[in-house]
Formats: sequence, structure tokens, C-alpha cells
Amino acid sequence: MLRLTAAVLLTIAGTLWGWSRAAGLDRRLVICREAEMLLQSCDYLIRSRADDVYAICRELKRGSGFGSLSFISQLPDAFIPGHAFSDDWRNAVSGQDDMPPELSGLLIRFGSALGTSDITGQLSAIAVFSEELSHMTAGSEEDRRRLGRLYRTVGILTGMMAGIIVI
Amino acid sequence: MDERTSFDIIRDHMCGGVRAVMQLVQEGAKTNLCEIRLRAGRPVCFVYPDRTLFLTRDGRLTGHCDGNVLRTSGGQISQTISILAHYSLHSCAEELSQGWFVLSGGIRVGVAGTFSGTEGGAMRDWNGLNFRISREVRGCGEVLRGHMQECRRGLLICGGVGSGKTTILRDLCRSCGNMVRVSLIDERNEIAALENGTPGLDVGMQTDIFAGCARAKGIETAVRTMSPDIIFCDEISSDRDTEAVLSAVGCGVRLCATMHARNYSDLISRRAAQRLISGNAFDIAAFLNGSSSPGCVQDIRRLENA
Repeated sequence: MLRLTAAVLLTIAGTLWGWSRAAGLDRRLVICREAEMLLQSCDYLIRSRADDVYAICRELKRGSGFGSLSFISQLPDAFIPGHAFSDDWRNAVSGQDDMPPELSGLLIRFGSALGTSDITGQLSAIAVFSEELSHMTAGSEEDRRRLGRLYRTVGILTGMMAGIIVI
Repeated sequence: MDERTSFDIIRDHMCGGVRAVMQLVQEGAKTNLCEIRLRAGRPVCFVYPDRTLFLTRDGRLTGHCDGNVLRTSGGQISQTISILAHYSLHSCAEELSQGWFVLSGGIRVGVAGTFSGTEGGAMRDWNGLNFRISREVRGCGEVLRGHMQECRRGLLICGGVGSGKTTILRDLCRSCGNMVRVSLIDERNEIAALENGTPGLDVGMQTDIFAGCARAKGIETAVRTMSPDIIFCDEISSDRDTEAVLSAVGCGVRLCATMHARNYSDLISRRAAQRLISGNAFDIAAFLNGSSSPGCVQDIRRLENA
């Protein structure tokens, strides 16, 4: 009876591990897509209204569709003497623990470039970052497609095998 | 307006290195301060009405340009520009093409640099900044208020650089604007210091403010839409400004304006002044002393048709 219970628990554990790894891939894809939306929003705000960086941050906070980008809530609302915007942006992005490191690096570089050139320069920079991000998103999509089902299947099978060995 | 002084506002917009030194400046040094100038590779200057001093690395002021003076680099000038633009150069195309920013409290920051080659192009490769402190001196216009009330057409305030023309104009605008309908044409937003649409300096309860537009356009619009009793504007100089003033006078509006001229001879040597006098745009011209005693009236003349 004890061995049966252990086998069932091991199977469940394996399944959960597999699902967890697959969910991580799903979440990574969602974060990448929301980051793409963030760049598009910045493009729109700069192109149509030439909003300053703090107005952009306020608009991002007001917007919906950024549920996975929790760093947005930490962005500065207004100019504060002695606080460089790029530092505040970097601290906010670095504070989001569940962001993939390469995406975090891209967003930090984007924050350093924001506001450092005229409108044409800003839009060109956003286009370059968007292109880089689109490759990242495509890679995440491919990983989810290839590895998502694999993780779930391997998780279940590993758990079952461990359970059988115990029995 | 908040409790921060003009010095505090300027300090908060400086790059880190200069800001830290400005924290050390004694209160006495801030009195009568007119300008703070930054120039790439050269000392930071504090400009007073009668002298210019250099800021040292320990926050003191000295008349000697020695090894202890604080010099700013081109990179620090660029950092300061970035701060003035609130880290948003793309939002400041207008300011960078015209070469000035306005901070709260009417502080005007002039920018020196290289203009890009195109017409109306923005400035780049900045090499100098001039933080000019705006002074609201209540009562300084009282000496001319009686003349403003008695004149039928207009009052011209004349003086050299730093003589206090704009400060007196602002105070006269305030006192007149508390009694009659006034339109203020504030091309560089340094008279009213509008911040989010609210004047940071007192220009009168019944004063309508046209800021950021060309003087002539502001005068024409004010006459057409606001039916002012008096129009106040700064630095009449061009033919277009002159035409707009003459047109406004023709519509029965009185004017109070400033013009750069040290004395009567200097005034009538200027083409714009000749046209305004011959067109009977102004009754009276007041001449100010000069930068050594800003705001002091040296002479008041009735203007005859030349």
C-alpha cells in the first residue's frame, strides 16, 4: 500500500515538473509578446505626440495588456532631480525576477536609448529593438512548440517509471 | 509657486558634478545673482549686475581664474541638456531649434551650440548654457504706472542689456492687468513663465497670455479675439512687429512695449523706432539707466511725430 502511494506521488510529481517546465515556456512567450506591445506603444506615443519619457511611463501604466511586465508599475511618473531616467528604468526592469535574462538585457538597453535622440532617431532605435525582440519571440514560440509537449510527456513518463521502480 | 528658490531650481537641473558643488554655495552668494553660465572646457561663471565671479571646486566664488575653479566639460553640458529636456530630447525639438528652454519660475536657459545645416534645424554639439534668473520685483513699475495711465497711445520702455526692461514690463503688466483687460504677448514665455498653462509669475488678474508665438502673430490674434485695453509685449525690433503694433494702435488698443535703446539718440537711430514714432504708436518713452542700476528710470520723454 505504501509503495503504491509512493508510486502515485512520484507520478504526480513528475507530471507537475513537466507541466511546470512547459508553463515556463508559455510564460516566456507571453512576456516576449507583451514586450513587443510595449515597444509598439512607445513608437506610437513618440510618433504621434512626441511624449516625454515620463508621459510614456504614465501611459504604459494606464494601459492594459501588460499583465506579465510587472516592472512597468515601478517606472517613474515624473522627473525627480538627481534621478536619471535610464537608472530608474534599469532598476525597474532588473527588479522583475521572472523575466528571461536576454529580454531583461534588451529592455535595459532600450531604456538607455529612450529619449536620447530626436523623433526620427527614436523611431529608428525602436525599429532595431523591435527586430531583435521579434527574433526572441520567434525563438520562444519555437521552443514552446518543440519542447512544451516534450516536457509534459517526459514528466509523466519519468514519474510513472519512478513509481514502477518503487513498486 | 513652491518654496524652492531660482537657485534651487537651477541646481536641480545641473549635471551631477556641478550640482554637488552648487550645494556648497553660501546663501550670500545667491543674492542679486543674475546668471549662471556653463561653457565647455571653461570655468562656471556666476554673473551679477556689476561683476562676474568663478565658481571654485569647494563652492566658493573668486574673481581669479586659477587651478581651483570648477570647469565643465562638453559631456557635462550634454548631460545638463538631457536633464533640461527631462531625458526626452525627442520632445524638445522646438526648444533645441530655437536654442532655449524655460524652467519653472521663468528661468530662461539659453543654449549655445552648432545648428544643423537645414533651415529651422535643431542645435547639436552644445558648448554653452546660460541660466538667466527671472526677477519678479513688485512695485518696480510704479514709477511708470502714472505715465501708462495718462498716455493715449502707448508707453515704450527703453534700455540696454540687463537694465530691467522686462522686469518693469512684467510689473506694469501686473498692476494694469489688475484693473483693465490686458493681453500679454510673451514670445519666449519668460514674462509670465507659464507652466502647464498657469502663470508662474504674477502678470495680473485680467491678463490673457499668448506665449510661444511670434510677437506679431500674438498682437494680431489678441486684437482680434480678446478686445484688450492694453497690449504688453517685449522687444519690438522687426518690421513685422512694427506693422502689428501700428495695426493694433489703429484699432484703438494702447500698447506698452520694450525696445533696446540706451537713450533717445540711440532710439531714433533705429528704423523700427522711426516707423513707430512717425506712426504715432507711442506717446511716451522711458529710458532706463543700465545694468549697473537695473530698473532705475533715467529719462522720460514725450515722443513727437518725427
